[in-house]
Amino acid sequence: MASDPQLGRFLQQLQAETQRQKFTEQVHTLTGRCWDICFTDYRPPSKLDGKTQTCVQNCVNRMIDASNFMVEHLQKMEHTGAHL
Amino acid sequence: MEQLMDIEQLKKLSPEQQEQVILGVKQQAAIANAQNLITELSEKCTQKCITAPGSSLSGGDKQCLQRCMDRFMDTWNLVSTTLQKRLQEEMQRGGGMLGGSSFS
Repeated sequence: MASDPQLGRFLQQLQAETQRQKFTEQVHTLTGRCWDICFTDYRPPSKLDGKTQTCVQNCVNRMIDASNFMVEHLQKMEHTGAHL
Repeated sequence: MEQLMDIEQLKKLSPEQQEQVILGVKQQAAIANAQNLITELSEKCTQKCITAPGSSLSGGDKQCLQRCMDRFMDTWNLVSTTLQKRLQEEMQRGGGMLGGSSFS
């Protein structure tokens, strides 16, 4: 990378901020999706109960699984010569 | 964010200017994130709580809004810790999401 250590540190900090921002955006998207899935009651509950907590945790993990699965499938489609 | 500045420009910055850039990036991100959160929060909670608008905001509506905002923040925090844990696991397994899977 950069030969100048000061510049190297600076670029690293910038990269860390970019990563942090990407993470926050993922949290944002996932919160919106999992909210719609896990809070289906007419009115929101007075407490976050265990069942809903499990739902949110499963939701996050399955969304990531689904995303990974679809990426794999897309790659397979590419190999078999599907036209996009 | 990647394309906003080119490396040659960054090299010319003094250490003080570098610090300013980092600070600016952090502040901009914080503002954007707060705005996004508020937009989402009000969208989700009005959708859930203002389902049969009356002549004024009822006590029930207010309670619903309050709970909705609290639960939404709980969910946000839970999603954040769950995602962080998952990313750490994937890193240890050394693969999968390194390109950063995107949920757009």
